[in-house]
Amino acid sequence: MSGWTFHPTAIVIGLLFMVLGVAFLLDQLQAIELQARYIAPAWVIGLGLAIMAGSLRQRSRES
Amino acid sequence: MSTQQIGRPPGEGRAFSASLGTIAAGAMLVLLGLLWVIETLDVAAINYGALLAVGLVVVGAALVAGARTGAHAGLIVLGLALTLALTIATAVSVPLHGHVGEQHFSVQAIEEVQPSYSITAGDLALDFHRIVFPAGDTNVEARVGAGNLTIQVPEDVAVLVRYHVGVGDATVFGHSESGFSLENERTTAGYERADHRLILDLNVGAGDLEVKQ
Repeated sequence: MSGWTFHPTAIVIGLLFMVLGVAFLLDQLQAIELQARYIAPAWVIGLGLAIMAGSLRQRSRES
Repeated sequence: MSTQQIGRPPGEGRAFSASLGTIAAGAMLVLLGLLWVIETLDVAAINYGALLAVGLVVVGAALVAGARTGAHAGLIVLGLALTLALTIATAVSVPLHGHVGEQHFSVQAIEEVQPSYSITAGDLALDFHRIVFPAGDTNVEARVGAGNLTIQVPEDVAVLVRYHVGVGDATVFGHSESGFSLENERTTAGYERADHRLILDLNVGAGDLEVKQ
């Protein structure tokens, strides 16, 4: 087992930022037409994943 | 199962964790300042929207890369701020390219009329009232990300104004409206039968639009 401790919340939110950043960039370059109504659900999904990831890490530390 | 951190003295990871967000924020400010200088010197027009989007990707990559040294709350806050700004810009269709500051064009001849005017933030004023527009259609597009757009057109030309205001006020030929996502088009009397026509496509993200004749 590796000795490093990872922060899953940071990984999930980081990946979400990257996906959103690429989507916003394509929108700015007019390659796609992004609408705000698609961004809010992405955030809810990301928040849920981040909470789950944080919870799993907490359980891992407690056990 | 327990996790343990080995190979680093206690506190080293935390110090790195604390500095990563600060370094990212500082680097972005330096980059923003350099680009601002480039634009001020008229070397190139900057697409600030694309710049913010690239910044968000970089922040996300830094979070993933630094995930083993901490949660990096500073980076998360920075990413959230960028996401909020980009979401607002997308929701109200704010054009984020062009100059920043006050731009006033008092155009004296038709040859000086540009097909497109754009600023990211500030006030843009276009004074066309001395222009004799030729027969046929003349198209002009103007965009302001955040700020005010004011256009003066001459009396002797028929005008079609198509506009979008994300949030703010629009006053076109004396007709005013306020609110969110204002989208409309207005013409001067006799536009359909006129020989000399000016067509204005106007977009203000957040601010006021005024077109007067």
